[in-house]
Amino acid sequence: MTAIAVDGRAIELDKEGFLVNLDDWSEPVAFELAQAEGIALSAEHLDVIHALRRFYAQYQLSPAMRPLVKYIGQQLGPDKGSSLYLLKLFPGSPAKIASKIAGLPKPDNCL
Amino acid sequence: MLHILRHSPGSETRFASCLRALGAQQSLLLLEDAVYALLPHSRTLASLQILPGSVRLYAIEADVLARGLALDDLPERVKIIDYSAMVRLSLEHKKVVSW
Amino acid sequence: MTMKSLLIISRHPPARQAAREALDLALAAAAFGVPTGLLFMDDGVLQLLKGQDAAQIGRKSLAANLQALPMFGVEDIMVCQHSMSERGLGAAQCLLDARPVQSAEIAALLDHYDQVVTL
Repeated sequence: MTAIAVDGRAIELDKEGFLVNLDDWSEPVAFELAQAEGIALSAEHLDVIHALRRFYAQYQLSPAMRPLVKYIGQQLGPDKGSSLYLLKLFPGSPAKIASKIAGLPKPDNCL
Repeated sequence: MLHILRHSPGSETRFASCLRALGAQQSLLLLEDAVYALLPHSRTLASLQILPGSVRLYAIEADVLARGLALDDLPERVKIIDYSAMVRLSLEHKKVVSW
Repeated sequence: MTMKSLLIISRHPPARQAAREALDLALAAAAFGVPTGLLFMDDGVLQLLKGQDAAQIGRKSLAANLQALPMFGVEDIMVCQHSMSERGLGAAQCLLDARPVQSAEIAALLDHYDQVVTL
């Protein structure tokens, strides 16, 4: 178990960097989590992060790539609902990295 | 005697068997998926409704709510109880039969 | 080569593990681009009831997950009309927009899909 310090508070992470307590999430925490992934959060990043949190609140699932693209398209406009756009913001594995920064639980399965 | 049903009446013969075995002075408690027997307009509810008036019917509130059944829709003769009432009910009856 | 299509028949009430397995399989298949259909039959139709509160019995909400099916690309969602009527249920009580199918159509569905899994 590791921890990050945000505003003088220790936030616990599991060994893959996911929040241990989902209630710990805040925008400052997101900035820290993003930094650990080598990402400097912009307004565009934050739009996706907030959409992801809405996705989780509604479906109680972390999205795979395909549903993420579809949902972002519906929420933020068709120009953003593309894997290219998401890959640009969250290089590598957008669904996984963005979920982690959004403070979603680690998915139960490999999807 | 208290009969306890805890499986859905849909795919099993337990529901029918239990009703056949149920005596007029006995009680029936619906637990877990067995509360689906109370779905309004269902065949299972119709068969519960024609049980003799002396048969006492009970169902667990949490199980009813968890499965999307509305308390208001349930027939009056079904008494809605919680877990501690279930324990009392089991103790009050000389015998308990689980189906 | 076109991907083989898969029909999943979900036959158990929401509190049973098999109900979640059917859903996970549908989500997984769709995530890999498999054309996936999901048919709720027998007690499986009970998964679709509105107003479920799984927290009452300390469970996670299957209903919330089910609503994600169209988002995950499972768009062919069907419900057995006979199983619904047997339980006194109508489309108004369903939390998903599932297409009602008659018993006779089910045989055609089994023919139409390349693979069929019953859970």
